[in-house]
Amino acid sequence: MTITSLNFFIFLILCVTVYYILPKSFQWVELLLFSLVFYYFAATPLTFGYVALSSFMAWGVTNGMERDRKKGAKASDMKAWKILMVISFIINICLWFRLKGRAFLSSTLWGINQIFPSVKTVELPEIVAALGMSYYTLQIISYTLDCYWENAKPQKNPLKLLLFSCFFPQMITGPISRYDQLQSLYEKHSCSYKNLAHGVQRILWGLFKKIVIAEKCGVIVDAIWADFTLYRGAYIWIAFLLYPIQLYSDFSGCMDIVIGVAELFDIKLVENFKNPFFSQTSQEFWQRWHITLGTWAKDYILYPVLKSKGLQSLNKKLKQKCGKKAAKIITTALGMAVLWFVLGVWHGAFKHIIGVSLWYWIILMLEDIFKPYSEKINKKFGFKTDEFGWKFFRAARTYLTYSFGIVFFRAKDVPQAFRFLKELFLSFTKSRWNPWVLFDGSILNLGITYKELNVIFIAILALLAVGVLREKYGYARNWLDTQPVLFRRTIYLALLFAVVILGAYGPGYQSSAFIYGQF
Amino acid sequence: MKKKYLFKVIDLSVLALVVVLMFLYLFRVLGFSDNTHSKAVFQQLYDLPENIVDVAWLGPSSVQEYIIPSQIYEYTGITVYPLALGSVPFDSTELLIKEMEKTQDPKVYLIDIRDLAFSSLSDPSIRRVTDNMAMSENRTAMIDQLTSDWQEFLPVSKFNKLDYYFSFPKYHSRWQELEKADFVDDDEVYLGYWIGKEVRVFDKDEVLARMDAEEVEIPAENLVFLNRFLDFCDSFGKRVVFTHTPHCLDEEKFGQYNLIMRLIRERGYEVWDMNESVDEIGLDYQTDFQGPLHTNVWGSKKVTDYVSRCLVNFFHLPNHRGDPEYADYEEYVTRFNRALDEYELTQITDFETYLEKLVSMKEGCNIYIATYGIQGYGLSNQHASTLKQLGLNQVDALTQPEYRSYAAIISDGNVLHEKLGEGTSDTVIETYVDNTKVSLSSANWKGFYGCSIRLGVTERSQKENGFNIVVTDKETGEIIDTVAFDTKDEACTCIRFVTFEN
Repeated sequence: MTITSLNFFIFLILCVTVYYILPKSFQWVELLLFSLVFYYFAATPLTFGYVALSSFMAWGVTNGMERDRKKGAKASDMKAWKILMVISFIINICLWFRLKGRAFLSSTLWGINQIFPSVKTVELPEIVAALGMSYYTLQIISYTLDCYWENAKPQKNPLKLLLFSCFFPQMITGPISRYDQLQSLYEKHSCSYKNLAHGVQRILWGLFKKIVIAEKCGVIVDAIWADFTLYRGAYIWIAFLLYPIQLYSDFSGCMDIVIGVAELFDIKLVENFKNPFFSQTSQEFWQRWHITLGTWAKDYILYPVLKSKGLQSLNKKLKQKCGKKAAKIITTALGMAVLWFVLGVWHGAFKHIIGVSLWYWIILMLEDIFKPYSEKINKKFGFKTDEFGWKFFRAARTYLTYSFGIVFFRAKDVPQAFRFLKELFLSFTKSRWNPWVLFDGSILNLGITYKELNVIFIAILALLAVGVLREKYGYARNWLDTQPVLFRRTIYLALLFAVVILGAYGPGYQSSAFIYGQF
Repeated sequence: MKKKYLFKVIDLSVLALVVVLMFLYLFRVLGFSDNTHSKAVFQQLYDLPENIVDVAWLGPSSVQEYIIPSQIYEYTGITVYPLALGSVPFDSTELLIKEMEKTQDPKVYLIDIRDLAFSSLSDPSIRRVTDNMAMSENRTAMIDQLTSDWQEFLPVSKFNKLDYYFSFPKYHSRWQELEKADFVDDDEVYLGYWIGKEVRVFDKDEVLARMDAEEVEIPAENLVFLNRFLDFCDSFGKRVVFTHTPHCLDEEKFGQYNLIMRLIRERGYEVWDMNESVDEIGLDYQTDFQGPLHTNVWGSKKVTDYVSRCLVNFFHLPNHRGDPEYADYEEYVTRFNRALDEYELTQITDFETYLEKLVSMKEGCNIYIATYGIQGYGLSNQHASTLKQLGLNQVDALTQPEYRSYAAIISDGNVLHEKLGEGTSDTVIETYVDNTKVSLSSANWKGFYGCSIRLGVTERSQKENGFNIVVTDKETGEIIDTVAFDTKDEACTCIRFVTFEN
């Protein structure tokens, strides 16, 4: 049961109906039960044991700590709990590694083998992982740490904590919510037209992004990636430039559906995207793309690493030897290296360490180093950085930087990514120069019709328009809510029928899973 | 507060209604569609008044493209409805009878055996039935039956029931293929029949020699379905007769039909083998088939004529002609004859015959004529006389071998404009016919543009020597025919170089 399937929507209607019929104090119980049902249909039922194990370990550790704290235990007594907490983290991470790290281990060994041929590569057996494991593992760790740092109060009821880990809408691709952000799970909610309407609108918009834009772009991108000895030159650029849009529409579309579903229950989930392609720098990009993962990594990896004793003392020494600025850059670089490495591992394959982590670590560091210089240059030459043209140029630059990085994300493995990049750079050579394929109908060989190309073009324009409105009004619907009812309804009906008519779904159509659903 | 609440409820109800109506329309437009007109076969049945059908004829295209019900009605006053669909699986027959029985009470059921020699179940053949049946328990039963019946006979189960209950997900992507026919009622079907126009030539002797073929086994599933259906017939309580319409299939198929017919007869049922009666029917294997499986309209007319006689002779069914209750059938007689006239018109290559046909069907048509060059070599007094029957009075002048330009417009049998050029001058008519701007120009030998018949902004004439004629439907404006007869030449050669899509 995927969240774009008819079965899911039948399940959802049933769940929402029962939710508002039941006495309010039972609402969270109903959500937990339906999450279990969702788990039963969407994943291997037995793997639910992993979520339960993680949740109950966290519940035991955090409540134990809290109990001793209340008793006025000394710091030395708390050490035992600290060890237990670390053990629970290790178990969680080991579980994650055992179930999800297969690709990472084998691809990493392959990478090492390329440098040290004596290291042998291995094919590890596939084990069924728990649904949403990468997401709930991070949630559980953040919950435990928040309780340890006394930023949050432990949840007394283990079943309520279980609901925090397995709330069904966010089991596919997150978002990674912190415990304090999901308190509304346990609150009592009344059925309101506004929530239902907003939820449905958000779901529709998500479906539009996923099954209209992402799936149609996917046809083109997949065809080119399937054989770039056949599709060269301009084709490679099409795939290069279109894939970020496909990935964004896919991932953020799923988030819209998830957030919309939660809104139906009057539960507000944190946003995961905020117009990332409007970003002026790569640093800003990562504050707008997969926001919850970035925030999690900053709060629970970067800051603890930067505050660690080792790095603090290194900072001191470097300050004396190289100066304040250099010391800051070096220590930040080290902290960022740890952060990007962990994110690379989390994404689960060696190619992510090369493509996402290493690439962005370099880019972000360079941005940091050159930021003062670029500001000076702008000032000296009098560039008007507030103008649209300048902003557009910077956004395009950020887009291209991202497109480059996710070549590794899209590729099957590192060699394929390098082959793609080689084709990209050689596409202007005589043997590959073929811009006419954009105009002579050759593009239709990619499995798409002219009508579908028009749909893609118009849909991307709609995506852009909504992005502009979002920049200006927070949410596009904030603007739409101020418009006359007829206009508003027309827009929503147009959206509904665009999804129903233009969407890629139905028998004979194999909808690809959400790209981020693999994590 | 109460008012506000009430307003909200009304508001949402209106919205829900709009959405439901839009969806219903969408389901209709983007539903299953193919070139066998299966939607109209069901729709026209549902639209008939209750209990007026005397004979129901079920089967695949071997019925649908053979029997012209309006012609049977015209000849005998007997009402026949062929609930027949291309490649319809035989195991759907029982439930189709139940569907028929919901609104009609036929005295006789004719069941064609054609499908029993074929072993295949395709998605379209299921959908032609299930997607077009009205929502009902019977439809659900049909989906269940067609998707489960074949499970044991197919290597892989490829039919998912749910896809047939809700067919929209499968066909929503048809938006790219939408055409006019998807938005309007199918008016090319006449009580289930549609005009087959192709012609394929077969060797009659060779085909008929296959009739004596040895019996050949039929697919196992069909044997099961046949026996099950015969069991049903035993308890049905109405007269059921099986039919075997003429075809040009191979010897193996004839062998299979020989077996099927024997099995049916052994159970005490009649089989009407029309392959044995092709001489009596008068089928011409050079002109009357559109392929090995189907007759064309000329063949269908002959088969229908034969069937009409048989129905009168064997079943003693009443003649309903003139009975106001049967107005629908009367209307289909008119519609089909008109459609046949229109089709026949496009096939005529002799000028005199063409003019006679125009005279017979001038009502309901707009006829535009523009000439180019000298007409007198080919245009005889006989032609002129027939043209006069169209109401054209100035055509005598054209019979002389002189350069005269000429243009005329006839609408619904009335001459709106007729203009003969003075001396060697050109003739132009510019006017509006049924709110469409019409420009006709006719030139003599000096005329640079020859002739032209422009309807709206589009040139519709052949722009050839002689009589250029464009015939359109007065009501719809659609082009029925565009032709030129080269009356500059004695042979009056027919020219249809250009055909127009409406």
